[in-house]
Amino acid sequence: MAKMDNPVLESVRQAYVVMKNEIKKYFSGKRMLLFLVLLAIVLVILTSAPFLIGSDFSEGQMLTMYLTMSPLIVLMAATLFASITIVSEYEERTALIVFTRPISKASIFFGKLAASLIVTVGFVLLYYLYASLMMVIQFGSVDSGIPVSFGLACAYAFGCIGIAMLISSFMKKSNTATILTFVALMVVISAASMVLSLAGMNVSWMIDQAAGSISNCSPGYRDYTNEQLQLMAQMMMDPGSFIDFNAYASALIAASTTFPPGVLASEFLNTVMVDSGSWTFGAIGEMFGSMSVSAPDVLKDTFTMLAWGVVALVGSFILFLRREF
Amino acid sequence: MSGEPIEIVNLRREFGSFVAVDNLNLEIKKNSFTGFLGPNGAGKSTTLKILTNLIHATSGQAYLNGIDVVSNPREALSNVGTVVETPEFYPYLTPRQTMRYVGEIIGMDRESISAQTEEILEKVKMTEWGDKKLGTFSKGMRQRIALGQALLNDPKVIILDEPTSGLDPRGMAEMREILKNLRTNTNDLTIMMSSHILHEVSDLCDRVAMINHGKLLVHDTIDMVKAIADYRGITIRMLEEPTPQILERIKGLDNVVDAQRNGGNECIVKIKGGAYEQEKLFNDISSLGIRIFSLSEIENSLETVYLDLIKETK
Repeated sequence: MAKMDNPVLESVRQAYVVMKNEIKKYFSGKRMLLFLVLLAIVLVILTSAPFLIGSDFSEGQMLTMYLTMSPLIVLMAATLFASITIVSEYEERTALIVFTRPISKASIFFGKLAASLIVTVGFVLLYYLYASLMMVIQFGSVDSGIPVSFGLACAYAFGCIGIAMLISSFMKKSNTATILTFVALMVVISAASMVLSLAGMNVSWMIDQAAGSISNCSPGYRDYTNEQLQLMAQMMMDPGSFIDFNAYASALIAASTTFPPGVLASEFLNTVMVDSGSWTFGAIGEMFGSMSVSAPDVLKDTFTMLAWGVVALVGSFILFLRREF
Repeated sequence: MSGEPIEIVNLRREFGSFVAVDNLNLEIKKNSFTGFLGPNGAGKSTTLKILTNLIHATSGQAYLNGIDVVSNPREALSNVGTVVETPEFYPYLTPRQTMRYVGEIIGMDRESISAQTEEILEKVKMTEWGDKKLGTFSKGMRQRIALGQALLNDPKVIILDEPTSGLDPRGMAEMREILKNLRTNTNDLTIMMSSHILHEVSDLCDRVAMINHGKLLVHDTIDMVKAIADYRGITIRMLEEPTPQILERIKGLDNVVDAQRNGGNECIVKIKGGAYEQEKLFNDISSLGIRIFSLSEIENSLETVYLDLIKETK
């Protein structure tokens, strides 16, 4: 594509050139190999589930498995690809070739962002297609929540890539940026959510909480947890009679991480739980820390994840503009 | 503005309390090959990095082809080729793919990129390596490709920051040869090259700019800069060892500023004046009964000037 007279179109054209090279870089690096190996391992494990569980394996279980793993696929891709996209230009000294050319840093930045999004969303799409294919083969149908979940996963990808690029824009070493991104997304943000929740704050605006709706949004997922929720309701009504600790724990965790509070309250716990937005499980909850359930308001959660991405990308862009060789 | 292809006006760059470039003013003449000299930390690389948009200036302007690179880097760099330090390439690309990537960024059409690429690979003597992955190349080969990509859009200005740094002697010689050919075979080309290697600058450049502590010390043609030295260095080889007594007698001759032993039977004599004074020195030393078998001017008096100027600004 030859040079354009309009400066905006020229910037877009240059961003497209950078994006193409960046995608090529991703597919030529060892990180892609690592990602594909990890993805293959996850898929092999998930695919083997029906054979391991046997006839008790339900559609809800299969859906839950795939949807629960979806945010991890996003996180892996963002960590392995977006976290190095800026820092590697400085570390590997390729910036000396590209940045000294008549190209704006905005074109470079948005080209790299587009490449990270395309590669991550591409893999997430393949993952959802694979999950859908497996469901069709096993049960003859695909859960209606899958497209919504995919949309939410894309929003989560945007948020994670923003955070990864923010870290990439000030780190000096690619490997450190990757580790820091992984720790930030897996540990730091979750820990912050937990602490804020313990402090009684509403944490539905945290990206990890919003990402919960990637799996929560599906009706099939809710059906699957009915049994455990009933068990939990029973325990809540009469905690003293409840002796199956493992079953209790699994019910509590399932409820706290997956269920929309509205449904939960109306169907099971309206006599026990009152709060409409965030629930605390009282004395029993203290055993696990204060656990709360955020409503899977798809629009709100999508907005939350996108907002994280936008804020992180603005920060990343400013740092990138100021960064010198 | 002067209309010269590279113009630096009151350029200043501070790193905390350290002033790397101190209100530098410099104009690089059109169609010149200017050597940019200075000791480590003098501000050469900082200046060239500001010119190539790799770092920001604290204040001042730097114009490339009349366009301020500080405020409008994209336009300013549109007709400029650069090789800053030792750049690296994407190892998964071949030289031809690299040229294509750089050409696409610049906005060249596919046909022009292909045609230019072949011509440039020929110029930098890398045609047979055009389809091999760059990750396997030696430093010298990568540096030649770096120079090649800088030539891709047929730039009017080339900025080189120590292009032979880190190369082995053969690599250095090859790079110099390429630069020499480039200079000879290209019309309307201005080159600014920083280097620590003074004989390389003497060999390649027609002008020289020296800086120290971020300030310009001198900028002129090489001959004029050499003429700044008020003496010339002469190497004298004798049949016997130059004893302190011999050296003292040489120092007493007309026009002689200094005489120092330089190892073995060799001494270096600094004299005022030109060819006549040099001829007179030969006769005077012979008349003293000192048996000499060789007397030659130290060719690179650029080094003498350089060292003197640096010493003065310490």
